[in-house]
Amino acid sequence: MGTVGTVGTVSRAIVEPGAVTTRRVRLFARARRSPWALRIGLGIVTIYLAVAVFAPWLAPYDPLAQDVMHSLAPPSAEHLLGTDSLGRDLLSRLIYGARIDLLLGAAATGLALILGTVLGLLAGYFRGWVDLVLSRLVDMMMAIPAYPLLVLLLFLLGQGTGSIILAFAVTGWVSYARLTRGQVMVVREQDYVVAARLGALGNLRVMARHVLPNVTTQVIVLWASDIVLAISAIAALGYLGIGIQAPTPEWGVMVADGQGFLLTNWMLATVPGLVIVVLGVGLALISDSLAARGGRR
Amino acid sequence: MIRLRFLLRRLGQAVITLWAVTLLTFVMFKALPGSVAFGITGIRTTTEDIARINHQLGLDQPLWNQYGRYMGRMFQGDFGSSVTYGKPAMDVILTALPTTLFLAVYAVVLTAVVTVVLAVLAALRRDRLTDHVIRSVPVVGLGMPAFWVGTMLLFLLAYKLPIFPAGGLQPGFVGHVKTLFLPAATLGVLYTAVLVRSLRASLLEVLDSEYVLVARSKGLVGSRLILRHVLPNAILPTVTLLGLIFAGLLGGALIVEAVFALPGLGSLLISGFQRHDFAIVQGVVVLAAVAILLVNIVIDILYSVLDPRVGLS
Repeated sequence: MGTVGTVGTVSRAIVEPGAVTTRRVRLFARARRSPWALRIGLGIVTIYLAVAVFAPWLAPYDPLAQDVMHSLAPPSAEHLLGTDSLGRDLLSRLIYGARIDLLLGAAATGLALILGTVLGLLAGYFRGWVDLVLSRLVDMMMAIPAYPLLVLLLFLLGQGTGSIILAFAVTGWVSYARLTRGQVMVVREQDYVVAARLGALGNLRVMARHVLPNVTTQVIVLWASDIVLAISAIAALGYLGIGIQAPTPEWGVMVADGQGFLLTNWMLATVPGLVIVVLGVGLALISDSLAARGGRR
Repeated sequence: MIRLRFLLRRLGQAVITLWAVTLLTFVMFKALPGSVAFGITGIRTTTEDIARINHQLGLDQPLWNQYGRYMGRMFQGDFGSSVTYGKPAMDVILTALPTTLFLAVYAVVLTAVVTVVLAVLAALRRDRLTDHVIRSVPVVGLGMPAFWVGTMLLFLLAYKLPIFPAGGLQPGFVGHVKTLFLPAATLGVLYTAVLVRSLRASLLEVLDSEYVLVARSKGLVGSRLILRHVLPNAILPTVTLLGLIFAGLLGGALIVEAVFALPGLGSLLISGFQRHDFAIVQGVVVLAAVAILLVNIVIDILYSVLDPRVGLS
């Protein structure tokens, strides 16, 4: 392996003599690798969390207060981002939206994470029929496209935050289970795990103390990228009108509401989406840095 | 021989999975609140109406009988009759399928082209500015909601600069290409973000291999090297992912179809849910599952054909 790598590097130096890094590029490269990416990511996410927690103090208006006389107003000193079709303050709705979307995203993926990790751990550790049943179940879940399944579950469970969290957990556990199962199958053959099992340690203890810690980093990396997708999907359900319902300030619902007024006030549909994108960048920076640290590229 | 046995086993697994999917949708729909009869007649429904409709649809029979009849018909490719359209669900699905199929192919082609171009550029200019810019595409792209990207493209390229129509579907091949460009581009943006990183990584892996070194030492450079020696060996994982994306789209691109008001399977699915039209929903979901299972098997076979090192086991 080592020799092949060296040959590759040398060959590139020979064949691409122009591969001299400029200062700009070095800066870029360093920014990607340094803890700065992680710090910026954490910074962005912290700001979002703070906005969610302190929403009542930060928001200039009640997010539900209508003022039809001043509907679709452009940005002004009173309304920094303008108002929507019912005269509600866009900035206030965005701020309160952080509560809804962050909470739902974290809860939905969190439940999926717990469910998937536990099932994957059991299947990878015990193998046998547990593994067989789980693998068939995973196959089935993978054969149903995610959105149709989500929609099906939401209609079954009825609308509401509890249903949304549950529906995401039911559709989302699969990737965590697959990841954990694969990892556990490798780890369980390691000497220290075999030793722990041969010693008088119970299965539960071995799983919790010797197997699980080897999986956590990768599960967390997956979680960070999963939250982005979940928030995006929660917003998508709101957009389709089958997720969070209308008066609630949810980012996806806000984009849907604003789409009809693109020509009057384009900010109504644009800014809520941008808010999701920036959060996505923050979480992606975190998961990338963590993945790089864990040696996975 | 090994290949045939493998194929049969995979098909067997697929059939079991498919059966589980049909059972799941059946159970779920039976557990749904609200009744089909309400969906048909609306709010002014008498108890007699409900009883009559339930009898017509066989909904007053024991659950086990309903399931038996259902599976029997399913084997004949009959998903039952759509209560909202008043004709076989299969017919309704088949009228919506071409739109979705066209969109899926369009999106996959756009994605493939853009991904290959970006990944090759990044790999050739490794660690230079181009590479770093392209590598940050997924960081931004993965968090972008499809409905927002669609809305933005609509705003910029249909309203501000009226290049493309704002929605709906024009007939004919050219009409399709024109009206479905923005929906396909929306999907393309999102899927490129998913694919570009992995293709770049496998391109670099191949570029570092010894046979590429040999090819280079023979004086082979530039596009010929990339197209003949590097790309074919690096693209397999990307082809797999593209196949899965294509299969996933066959269930209907729910969000994009909603943004651009397209009469595809996704829109059909949503309206089927809202009207408790079991036959439609079951049909679309089963069709999507069949597509995904088939594509998976095809990918496995393709792998073993394209790369002899991969065994079928």
